Amino acid sequence: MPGQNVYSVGEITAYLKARFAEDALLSDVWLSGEVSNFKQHTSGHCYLTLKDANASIRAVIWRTTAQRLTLPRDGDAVTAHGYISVYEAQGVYQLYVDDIRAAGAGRLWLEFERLRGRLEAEGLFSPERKRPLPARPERLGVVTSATGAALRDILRTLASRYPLVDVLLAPAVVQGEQGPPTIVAALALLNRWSAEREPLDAIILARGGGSIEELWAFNDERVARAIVASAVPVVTGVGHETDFTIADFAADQRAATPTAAAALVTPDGREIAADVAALRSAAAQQLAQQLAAARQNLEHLAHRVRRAAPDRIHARRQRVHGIQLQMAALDVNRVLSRGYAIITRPDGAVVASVGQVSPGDAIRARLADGSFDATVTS
Amino acid sequence: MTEEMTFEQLYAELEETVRRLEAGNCSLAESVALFERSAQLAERCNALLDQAELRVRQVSEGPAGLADRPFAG
Repeated sequence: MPGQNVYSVGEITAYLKARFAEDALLSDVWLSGEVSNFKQHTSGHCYLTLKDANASIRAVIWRTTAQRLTLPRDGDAVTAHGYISVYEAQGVYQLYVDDIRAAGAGRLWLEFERLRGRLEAEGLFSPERKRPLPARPERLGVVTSATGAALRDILRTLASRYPLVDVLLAPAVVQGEQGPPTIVAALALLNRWSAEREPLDAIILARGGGSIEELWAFNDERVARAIVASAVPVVTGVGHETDFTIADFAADQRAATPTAAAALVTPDGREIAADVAALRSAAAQQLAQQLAAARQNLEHLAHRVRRAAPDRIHARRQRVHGIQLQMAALDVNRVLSRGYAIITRPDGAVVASVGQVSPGDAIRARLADGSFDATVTS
Repeated sequence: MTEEMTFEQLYAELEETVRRLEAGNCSLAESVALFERSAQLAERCNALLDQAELRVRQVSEGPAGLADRPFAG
């Protein structure tokens, strides 16, 4: 003790937990063993022990994980996946399970995981490889069994959602040894058709639900490579919601079921009808707006005309006034008021020259404010 | 003239027609014509949607090369 640190139980347990966490193997491990002491708590969490001839390890399956897994029973030989960590309160290490399968399936699953890891490392599943699916396809390819429920589901879905689409079927065997080569050939055939005859917008690769062995054709490396090599985007719909296959990872998009795959590559016809209606009403609204604008322009013009008219009248009135003023300037009375007179003879004729009168003639002189009579004397 | 157009072509032209209307640089007469065209296109789109029946063919490759035939199901 002298010269050495003393740790609390909590400190050393935290240290152990940290050491577990940084270990690559312990954080991602597959274990095989036999189940014992399996107990599902009322909380939904499951507790069990995995053991073999020489050792045992405690394991936990959290409620959310337990809901999606087929739970084992005591005595089952299983393969379980998860991480191993320390449960501090009890000072034990245990496996936190995220996947558990019957031993046989576990072997297939290991194979699956190995292939998935290899192809993933090769970049076959990388997001950059994924191509977008057309919003409204004109022509679709389908690869599945010509007699299976999957094809019926797909065709029914396409017919009800988007019957405008043209369907080309390339049948394949979807289980057993024959599966992969026929799937590869069908994909190649549709790609040739697309290149040489009529372009395809997408290919649906599908199969109805089944056991893991029945779906195994879709966990084949040849199938994965054919999907990646397809010039036409591929959508998979294999098995049920919980089934993931290598083909799903290789596909441009994965759908949970054949029906979902058909829905994924087609728009809903009712939505399209709504889009058409929306475009149509947008056109009507646009025209109505333009008409309203034109009407407003017209009204504006009319208003300007009405306002301009009184202006012109006013101008005319002013001109008339000007003329009146000029006329007033010419008014005789104004001339007379400056001291001039108009001389008239008794017959009313204006005397404009001396030759028009002789001595003794009676004349009348008109001034501005009146007139008087006079006689010419010389 | 909309008779032999595919749904895709009809829809694309409908979108384009509305886009031109919305651009707002057409004369009133042009706009009326565009509106009439859009109504015609929409009509045809609806008719195609209503009448369409899924066409399914099975493709194969024989000695004569690629071939297709109707698939009855």
